[in-house]
Amino acid sequence: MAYVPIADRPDEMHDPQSFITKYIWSQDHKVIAIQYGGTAIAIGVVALVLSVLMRLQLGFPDTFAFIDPTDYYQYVTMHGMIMVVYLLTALFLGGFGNYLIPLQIGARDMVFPFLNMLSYWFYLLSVIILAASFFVAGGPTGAGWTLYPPQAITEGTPGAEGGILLMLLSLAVFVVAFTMGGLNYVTTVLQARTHGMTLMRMPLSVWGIFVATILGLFAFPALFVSAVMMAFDHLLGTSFFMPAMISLGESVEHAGGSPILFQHLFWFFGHPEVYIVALPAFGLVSDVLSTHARRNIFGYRMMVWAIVAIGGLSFIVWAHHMYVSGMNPYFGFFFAFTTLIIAVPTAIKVYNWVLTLWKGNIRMTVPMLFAMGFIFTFIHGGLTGLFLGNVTVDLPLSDTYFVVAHFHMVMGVSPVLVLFAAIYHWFPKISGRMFDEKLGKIHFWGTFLGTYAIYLPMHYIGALGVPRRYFALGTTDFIPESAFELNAAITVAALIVAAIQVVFFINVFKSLWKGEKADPNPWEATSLEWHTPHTPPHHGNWGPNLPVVYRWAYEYATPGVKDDFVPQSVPPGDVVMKKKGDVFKESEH
Amino acid sequence: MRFLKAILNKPWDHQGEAASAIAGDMMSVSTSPQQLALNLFLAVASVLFALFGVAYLMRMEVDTSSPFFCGAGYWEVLQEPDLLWLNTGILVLTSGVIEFTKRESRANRSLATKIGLSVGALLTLAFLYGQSAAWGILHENGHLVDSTAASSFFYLLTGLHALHLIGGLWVWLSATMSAFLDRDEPNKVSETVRLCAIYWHYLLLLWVGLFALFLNT
Repeated sequence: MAYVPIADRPDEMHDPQSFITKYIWSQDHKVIAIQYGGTAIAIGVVALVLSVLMRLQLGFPDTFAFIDPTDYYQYVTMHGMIMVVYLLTALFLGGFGNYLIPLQIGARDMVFPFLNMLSYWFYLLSVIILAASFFVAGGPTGAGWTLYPPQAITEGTPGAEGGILLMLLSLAVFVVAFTMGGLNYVTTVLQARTHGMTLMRMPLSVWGIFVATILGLFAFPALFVSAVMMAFDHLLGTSFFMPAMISLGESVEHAGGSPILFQHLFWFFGHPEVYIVALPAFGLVSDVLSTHARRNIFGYRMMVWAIVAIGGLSFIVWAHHMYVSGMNPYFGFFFAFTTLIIAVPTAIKVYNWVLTLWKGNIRMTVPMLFAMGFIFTFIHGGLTGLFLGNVTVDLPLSDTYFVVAHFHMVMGVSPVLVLFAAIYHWFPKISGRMFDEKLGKIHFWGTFLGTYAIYLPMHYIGALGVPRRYFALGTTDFIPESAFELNAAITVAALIVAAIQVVFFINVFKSLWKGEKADPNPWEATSLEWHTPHTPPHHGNWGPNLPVVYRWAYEYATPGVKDDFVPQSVPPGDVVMKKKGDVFKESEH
Repeated sequence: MRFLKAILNKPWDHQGEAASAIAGDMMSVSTSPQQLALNLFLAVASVLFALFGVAYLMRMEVDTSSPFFCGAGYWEVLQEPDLLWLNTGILVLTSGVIEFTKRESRANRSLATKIGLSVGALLTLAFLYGQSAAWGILHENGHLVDSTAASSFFYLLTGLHALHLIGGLWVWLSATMSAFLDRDEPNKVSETVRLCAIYWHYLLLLWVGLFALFLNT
């Protein structure tokens, strides 16, 4: 069949007719992206507040009477789950995936706009169900974000009645929402690219989102399976995961279930989930770094291969989260091996980011600062991963703050820095306004230095053996007084970092309200989204004709070319070449 | 292979690459987006049921020699009702009728298409009714959802399989309505029927796999 740009068919346009179809029941990928982003950030703020409450307790125990152990465990659980699933996954894929895929591949919209809209509303439903658990008897679940049975559904655990059920239901609905969105993203990338947009001309943002979506489609079913089976155990009295045991002096009704089975299922989802968040971050940060360093991305092909390789490998490392579960030690050997292998493509990416900066004409803009900050935090978080990937090192460190510091650096702070880089980078295109540079820099330095103030000492506390998941440490022989003082200092840093985020929101609202009108291409970038006829792009994105693509997205500082960037949609004949006082066309060269 | 070939391209090399990309474009679309999305969905559903299958096999292997084992909860074989054989026959027949409908609708034979659509829907409903009757038999024999791990899995997996079929039936019935009311172009109905046929055949294969698992464990 001849090439037909699917998203260019008139019947796929769905021109919005009223306020409701334009802004609420919208099928426009850009509006859906903003809906996804707004909802994710809103629930993310809840998670941020929970982390502040947690830190208050840890830094100053016995000070805040309104935080009891039950509350504390609920804060920990909800903070973790919201951040990983409802903020990061939703914002990277639902938010940036929706906004950037059609714009960067030159499509008018997603291939299935109605399904796309449905995906958002299911996501919102999952967030509402999750938030509802704060208001049921017993409150939300406090089982830890991993929701391990038998504890999660056993009497005595916070939220073991209603809270855990709402969590499981919310996760199941989220998986349905994600599947609808994911089918759309993959189909759109494979079938709706404009003329000339070959796979290897796609910006790395699209590559990251594309591969992460495939991971999500195959990893989220494991979460669905574990959620459904645990709900059965809890509601119908089955024994999939629940063993026979005595709880609060009485035998439970279950027998023979396997808690380890749950752990395998959970981490079969849980580890790819790390890359479902990381791969889009890798893609977005590559584009930001390349644009603001005025250099083509170093090793584009290797970057694409690394994304694909990491995606594949991420499915065979899950049990490195389970070294202390009592599984067969030979399993541990295998999973340590695969875990260290995955460090190879990841390290290639880091080298390539650094080499992209080498001899670049670096513009220290706010998005660039966040992107460079990411390189630092990701290297630090990644290196501690090498420690924890080894069974013998992991065993003593597994239940300490070392692990908390590691995963916050590598998949908390790092993706969040990329999110900020991406928000600042694409804000002018999304809103049509420029943000306040000064406020942006205050936000960056406060966040970047603040997160180091939080997590560097946390590694040290962990190495001392301070256990995680404890409401209060009490008096022990092995925890020195200095650890308590460090904990208080970490809390102060965390409060400052949380407060600095207010600057971000002030910046966004101030800029939306009276920010300077943005140039259509303020960063002099090459990819298609910066060359739409309108800023912000109108419905249908491209006006009457789809753009045609002639080159990859990284044509910066090309030798012999007059301008330091050549957009993807400029025909070869229109590229102005550099020569002393003489202007001639590339085709004549 | 095409994907592997594609990712070997050097996008920065303009010699010859640019012109060929415009003329031929790598992405000549040979499958419809609906077909591609269905293929992807079937892959996702396969992963879902494969994970349930793995969970099933792992749950069977409860270590009865463990000092923590208290004598209960080990795997007890479930005697599946013979009715499942009849249900399997009905589902095979349904697949056949749906295949027939696909051919008739492609040939634009309106009456045969309408008959096929109706019979296909009725047979699917018959299968679902048969499955619920099998549940009833198990229930009467005292095999409740929480009786043994095998019965828990039976209810769970047959229920999920039925839910997938109900989802397909919804699309099938909308195509049936369109055919009877002449609401859509015949080729649109034909395309829906074609995709439904793939889905039904897949669910038949899935059921055969599940049934084999139940019978052998």
